[in-house]
Amino acid sequence: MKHSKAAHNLRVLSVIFIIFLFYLCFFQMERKEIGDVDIVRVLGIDKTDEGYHLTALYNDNSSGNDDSVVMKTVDGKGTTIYDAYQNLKRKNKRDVTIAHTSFYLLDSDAAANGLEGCLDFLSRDQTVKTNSSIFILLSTNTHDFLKKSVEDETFVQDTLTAITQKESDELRKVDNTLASVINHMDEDLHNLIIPYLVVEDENLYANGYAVFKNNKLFEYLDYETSQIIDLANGRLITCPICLSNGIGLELTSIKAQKGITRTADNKLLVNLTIDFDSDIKEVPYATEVFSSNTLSVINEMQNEYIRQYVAAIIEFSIEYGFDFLNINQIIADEHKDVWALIKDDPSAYADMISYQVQVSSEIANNYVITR
Amino acid sequence: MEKIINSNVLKELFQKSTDVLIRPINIKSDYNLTVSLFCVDGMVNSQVLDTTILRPLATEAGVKDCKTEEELENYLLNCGGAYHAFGSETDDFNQLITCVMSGMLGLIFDNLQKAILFDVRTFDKRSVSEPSEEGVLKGAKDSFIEVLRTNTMLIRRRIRSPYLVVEQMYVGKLSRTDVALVYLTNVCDLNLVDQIRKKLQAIDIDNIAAASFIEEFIIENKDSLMPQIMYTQRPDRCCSNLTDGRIALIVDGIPFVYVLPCQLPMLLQSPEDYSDNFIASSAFRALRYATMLLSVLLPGFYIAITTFHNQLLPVQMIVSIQQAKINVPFSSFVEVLGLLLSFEILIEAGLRLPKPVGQAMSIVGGLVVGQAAVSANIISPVVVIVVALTGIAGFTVPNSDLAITVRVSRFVLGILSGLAGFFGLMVGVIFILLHLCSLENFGVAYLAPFVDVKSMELQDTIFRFPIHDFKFRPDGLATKNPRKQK
Repeated sequence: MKHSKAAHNLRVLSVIFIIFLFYLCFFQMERKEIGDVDIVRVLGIDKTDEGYHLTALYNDNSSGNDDSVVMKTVDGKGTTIYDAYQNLKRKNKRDVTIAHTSFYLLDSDAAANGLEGCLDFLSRDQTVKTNSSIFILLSTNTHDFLKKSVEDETFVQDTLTAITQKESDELRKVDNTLASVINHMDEDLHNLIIPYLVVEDENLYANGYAVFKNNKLFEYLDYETSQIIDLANGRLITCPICLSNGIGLELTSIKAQKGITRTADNKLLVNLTIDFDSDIKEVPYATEVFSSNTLSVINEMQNEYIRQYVAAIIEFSIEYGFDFLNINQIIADEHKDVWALIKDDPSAYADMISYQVQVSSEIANNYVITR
Repeated sequence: MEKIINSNVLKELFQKSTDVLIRPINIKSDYNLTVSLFCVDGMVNSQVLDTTILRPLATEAGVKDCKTEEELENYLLNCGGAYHAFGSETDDFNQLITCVMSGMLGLIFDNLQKAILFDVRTFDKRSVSEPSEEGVLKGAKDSFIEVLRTNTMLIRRRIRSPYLVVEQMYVGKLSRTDVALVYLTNVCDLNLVDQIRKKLQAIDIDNIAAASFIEEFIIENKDSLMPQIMYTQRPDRCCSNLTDGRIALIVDGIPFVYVLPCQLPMLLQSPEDYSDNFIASSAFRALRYATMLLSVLLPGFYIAITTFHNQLLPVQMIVSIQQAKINVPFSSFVEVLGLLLSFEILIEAGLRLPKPVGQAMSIVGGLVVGQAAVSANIISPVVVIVVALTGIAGFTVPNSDLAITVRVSRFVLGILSGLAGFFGLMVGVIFILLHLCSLENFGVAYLAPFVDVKSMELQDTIFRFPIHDFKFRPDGLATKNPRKQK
């Protein structure tokens, strides 16, 4: 009898405890009705003399127009990103969330000022999407660009989605996600590159990588060099190239392998082997491309093309202390003594490390349907 | 009043009942014997009565030679005096009353204070027809009806084993309803039969008016919402369970048969599972499990995700939901529960109305009112989709008792989700799981064979394996003869 009374009391206490938990949840959890919050799709980050200027592009659901998608912008200024974000939230009529923001645009000044200042707030927010993409906007600030896109009723978020889709179609691994960029910043391996976008005639397109040194914007690379960086890292799925004699090719089945060996004088030799197939896409003059001689000439030309670009990248890397070929991590793991020497002394880099690049390829298809 | 078998006593007892017939019959002989017919008008087959009982009493030479009531009784019962096979002697007043009230004929011998009971019952009954709930395309088309004896016949026709026992008793102090326990003595656990028999004998109720009058006395966990007793309209399904070692309970007046003990997987089995190809059956059964979960969880999931955790939704979906909810004045919680309630009202109204009107009302209620409500911005189209999907998914549950449980559970989980999002939903789910795990039905776990897993037992749960793989009967049921086939 006593036991059953105790069990009953325990049950009642459990129910009271659960109701109390529910009470806490009801008032403490972020209870936000889906329709009462503005979803930021694109967040622009500009650097001004006073601090940061944030511009949020969001879906406007307050107008009551349910037939079409209406985009609006709201901006906020502050000495830091967090300060600017709070200012932005105050200025907007309804609550704003960056939990669904898929794209972060940084203008050149913000990028040049350093990524830590831009991304620290985002890296500490548990609601942000870690797979959202980061782009650098070349030669215009994000505020003007987003404002104009709303006035012109061009849907920037759709254009950015298309760019991201294209990026993932071309590359095996995309490195400009928020999580990836923050990881690169933390690891400090001097290999952070983020795609930059060019605005041209109200159109937006990716034109290569912006290179970061010490997490600050250092240089913009051209499209071809950017592609060869991806190719040398084995990230590229396909890649179009145009040779100096006008022949157009598409590279496929690209494989890139890196190996680091010690030389007799206790230095490191980086062996980079690149192997690919190619399809002839254009021969703008009357040449018999079926002959083996012509094919071997074209083959050698495309190998040389790749070799030159890779050499340029290596030269650039050594000169400015970058790690475009992503070998620092391997050296740090496998050759700790060398890593200790070169880690903080870029000048020692050139002395300690030499490169050997081997490029081999085969022309797979050279169809001619009709002439 | 003294309870002895005597025509005067009976006349006094039934003096105001015009349908009860107590008529003395004088045997035309030198010994001037009198017996009384005791029956209920309308329940006896008068043609059978005339030819098998009354004619011999009037014409048989042997009857006229009987000098005493004792000789007459012996002659009618044991010497073929009455042309009727189903005759039995009784000196129990209560048994006489019960039998005659159920349609038998009593031949009263006043001096002996005894009676002979002849089964000359007849009454209007429904013919054996196609089951209304468990119809199959490729299978038997007969179903149980309200008459106990017809139901036992349907089972006996399928199981011609001498081990099949049909044990009959009466339940209900006033109604004296016939109840039969059916089981296979060479397969099932007889202790289980004892337990059920004791439960039936302990029922102290006046009348068995509806199914729950028996159900609620038999089930072990009366506070649970889960159905703990399976019913079936199909004799073939009942027989399959009997051969598995379960026990069937037939109640006169109820057009289905109870099967005990019951486990959750049984309630998600459909007769069609065994008439189709086992791969297709497995796919459909797995789908049934999935849709049951969908029906229970979807409203709560929608409420939780749109109220507390909308960052989990893909951005395109959240924008679509926002667009759909622009002018709706209610929160997702009110929308979903309101529409679920309307859905329940529609179901209830559809059940009460005649079939053609019910269909028209479903169309008006579901399509016209639903569309109007969306157009008037009272509810958002997404919620209509969620509730419709929930409702349709709920209809895939083959057992109506389980379907009711599903309907109630989704309200509870919806409320918990509205209070605390996924935390509330998970608390609800954990409570349901704990409750299911704690349920036991006549010594067999309710979640068996999902708990205490034996691989052989899982052959007929989420997936239905080929019949030739069913080597053993369910564990804990068929204690005597566990092997089903070689």
